[in-house]
Amino acid sequence: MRESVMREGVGIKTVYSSLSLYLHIPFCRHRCSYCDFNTYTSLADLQEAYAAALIAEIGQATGEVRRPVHTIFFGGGTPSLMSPQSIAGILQAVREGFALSPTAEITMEANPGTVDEAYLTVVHAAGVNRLSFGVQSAIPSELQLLEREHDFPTVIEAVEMARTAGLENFNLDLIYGLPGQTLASWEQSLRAALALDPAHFSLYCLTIEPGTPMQRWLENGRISPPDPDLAADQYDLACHLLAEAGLEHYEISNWAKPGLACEHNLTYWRNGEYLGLGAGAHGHAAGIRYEVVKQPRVYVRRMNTAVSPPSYPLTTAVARHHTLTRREAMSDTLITQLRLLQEGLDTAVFAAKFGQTLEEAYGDTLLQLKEWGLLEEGNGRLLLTRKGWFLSNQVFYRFV
Amino acid sequence: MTDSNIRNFCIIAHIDHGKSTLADRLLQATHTLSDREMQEQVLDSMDLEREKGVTIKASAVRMTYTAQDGNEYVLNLIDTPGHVDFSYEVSRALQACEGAILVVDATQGIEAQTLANLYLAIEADLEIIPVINKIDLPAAMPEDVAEEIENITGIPAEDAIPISAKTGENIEAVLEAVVKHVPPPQVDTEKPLRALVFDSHYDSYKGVIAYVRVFDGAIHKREWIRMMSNDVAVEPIEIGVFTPGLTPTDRLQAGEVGYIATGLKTVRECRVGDTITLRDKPAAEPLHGYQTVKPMVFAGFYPTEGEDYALLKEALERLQLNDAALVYEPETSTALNFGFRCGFLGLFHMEIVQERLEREYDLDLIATAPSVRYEVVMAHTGEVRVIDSPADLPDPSTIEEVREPWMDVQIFMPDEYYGVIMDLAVKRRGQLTGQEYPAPGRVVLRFDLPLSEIIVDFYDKLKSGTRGYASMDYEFKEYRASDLVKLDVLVNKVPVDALAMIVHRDEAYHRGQKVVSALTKKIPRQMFEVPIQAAVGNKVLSRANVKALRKDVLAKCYGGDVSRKRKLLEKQKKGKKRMKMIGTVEVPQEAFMSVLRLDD
Repeated sequence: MRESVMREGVGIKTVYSSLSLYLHIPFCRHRCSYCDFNTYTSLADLQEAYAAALIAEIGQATGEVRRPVHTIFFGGGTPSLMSPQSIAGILQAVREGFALSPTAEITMEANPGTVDEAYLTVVHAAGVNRLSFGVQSAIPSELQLLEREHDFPTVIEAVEMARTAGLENFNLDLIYGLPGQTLASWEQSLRAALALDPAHFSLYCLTIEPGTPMQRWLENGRISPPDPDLAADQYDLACHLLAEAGLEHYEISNWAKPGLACEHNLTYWRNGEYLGLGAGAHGHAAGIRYEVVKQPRVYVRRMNTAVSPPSYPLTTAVARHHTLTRREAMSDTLITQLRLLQEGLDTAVFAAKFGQTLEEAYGDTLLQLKEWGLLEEGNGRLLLTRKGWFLSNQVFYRFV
Repeated sequence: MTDSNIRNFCIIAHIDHGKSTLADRLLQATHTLSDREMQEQVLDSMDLEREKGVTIKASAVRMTYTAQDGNEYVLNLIDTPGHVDFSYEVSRALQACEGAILVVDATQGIEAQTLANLYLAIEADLEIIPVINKIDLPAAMPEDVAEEIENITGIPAEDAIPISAKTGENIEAVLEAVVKHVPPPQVDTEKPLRALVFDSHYDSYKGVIAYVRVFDGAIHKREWIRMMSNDVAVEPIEIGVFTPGLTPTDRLQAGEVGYIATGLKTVRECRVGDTITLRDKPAAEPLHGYQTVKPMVFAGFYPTEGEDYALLKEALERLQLNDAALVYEPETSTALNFGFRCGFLGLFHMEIVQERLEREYDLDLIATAPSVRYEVVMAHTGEVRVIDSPADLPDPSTIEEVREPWMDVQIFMPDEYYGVIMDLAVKRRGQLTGQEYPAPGRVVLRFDLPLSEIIVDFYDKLKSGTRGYASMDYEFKEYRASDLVKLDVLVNKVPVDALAMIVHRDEAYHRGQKVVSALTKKIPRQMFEVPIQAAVGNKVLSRANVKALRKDVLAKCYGGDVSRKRKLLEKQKKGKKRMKMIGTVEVPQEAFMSVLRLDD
């Protein structure tokens, strides 16, 4: 990985690969109609205690050595609801517990309308150097359907404030495949967002999740199910428009200006190691996948109860963990790495890591997928074809 | 000579008209079971029956009753199955009796099934005791129903006994009527033994237990018996009576109802309708009316998971121990691999067997569209081939003609649905053969209808078109030549044997379109476009495409939650595993099912 430190022991040198940290902030002012994330609208009183618990968890997760860290991502929920003091305190804890690279990418998710220039200036000073705005759409009726609390002019203001605060590197999230959305309205949203000249785009196709208001609306006929062919056209259109604008399509759902791909997300897609901290966060390190307890109050209680922490990478707040089998690690590598459209999977690295070539492990499946034109191999790399970008699940499920 | 203390009778009733409740009350009133032992609906012992609210297998119980005249009587109640598929079994149960209680719901009037069984009872020369049930309900119209009964049976309306089986009102009157009106059996205990098998079940310790009504002579325990239809001779393990559990006795004699535990290994060796006699003192002639019931409806049963084939085979073997009407033989399908061609008395019988296989043996089955048995007359040779699977229909150029079974159907309903039923029957090639108005506002229509038209959701349509008020009964009439063709269904240009059907030429186009449209909805989009076609011979009648899948992406991987993504992919993979491969096309189970129920 990109950075590493050497520990001098008694004649032993250990190399620690650099980590990414995901920090979950489970608070929102309002739950949007499509959202099934681990977030809560009635826990405003918990925010300070939560920040303290998160700081405690960071201390636990450190383990026996200060490991290097090269990216931090505040996700939510709405991280921008946290006070700048809390954000600064949390980052301070990271610096104490880990060897945070001076050039580390530190991203904060923010909802337009929850931030002002002063706030952004302070968190920037605390270390945040990248923002991710949940824009979703530029069309009022679509924002209404999603039950977003902002409108597009607010997005324009937020982007201006970010720039003034010195935060040039930001991402915009947009959603397609919405009930009632057309190809034209999607193009309108894309063009409006492009006009803001962001460094990065994440475009997500709507998944209507069980238990969300949108799922109920679908059941009682208030909305009609999105047309998957239209979603394919919308995705296709986005590929063209963003390429024209000079953005690189580096991951199935992500585009960036050259050199500005999200380092944090690259850790996920390279099946790298990251610690998940905070309620409901997920982590992957030392051959283990784990999940922290979801309920923020339970999380705070767990972190306040004095017990000796389990060994790295787990903390007392971890609810579940699973040691990956070799086969799972292999398929995880495939289903993450193939999402990187240009980089793909290095077949030699794969063989070296697992002691088995791709052909040995998945021969017939590979052949079938190549025959269908979903996968291709060249220069020692396995890649999704353009057709495969649209049908990646058809590739992935055959590897799990 | 008569045995004046015995009364053998049955209850004829439509589903839900209260047969089981009345039976419960009779058991209570005669103290056959104490209240504590009283289990709801004792006579229906299978769970499935209880859920479906019908009696699948007959049963029997012996009660003792002290009548108002001070004498003690033995009352044998013989239960009868309540569905059209089991009419032969009903006829045998009726033959075992001298009388029948006709139970009619005071809010509903007589239904077709009841009427059919009533006619069987009248034909069998049984004394009919009309009982009007559910008089406790506000909607009860006992006078109207009594009048209807009088019009049909000629029994004066004032003789009908109004009761409420639910509250127990007037139950005593029913018992008194049985004693007074049902004739005692005519008996001759000196003649050689003749006992009618009216039902049976398989017991793993005692083998087949034959439920018998003794007409002549007597049998003592451990006396060798002989089945008159097949000359199988055995020494019974036990004989006895139903109380209602099996209670051994030393002797059963003419006029009595009881059981003989034969030790036989399958019910096929001891069929309903057969006559049991003594090996060493045989009767010259069996009782009249024995016939081997023939399956009328056929379908392929295939396990969803290929490895369940052995389990399916074992399950069918076990079911057959108790079900002489069920037949099966191995069948291979290119689409569904290995399974069994099964024959049933009717659709209802098929549903019961399928449900039992799925429930009791935890099998996941694909059933192909039900078919009737066709007679194919070959050109030139004139040879007649009998086929029960559309896949076996020979090349049309070699066929002289194809004959199919036609049924004599009677449909009983309020007259406001006359038009609806006429429409339905005519659409199904029905020919009206008669109509009667047994009571004001009620009509019975008789049709000749091909069985193949009845087994494709005719009953559902009948019920839905009349808000559940129509009822139906049918029996085999004859084979008739029809202009029949084989409708092939092609998925991605490959004919799928399991989806082929034999249809009337005039219906082929319509049915082809229905099948194609149903399949197009049920087959998920694949990696390539999949044409679905319906064809007769080389002529394609209908075609539609399942468009190629264009997009299947999980966009979000929130906060590095790879496990969740993985779970979703695993679920997707599991779903695919349950599909059947036709060539390279993945076809879900529902696709095969959807062909069974095509909307008009």
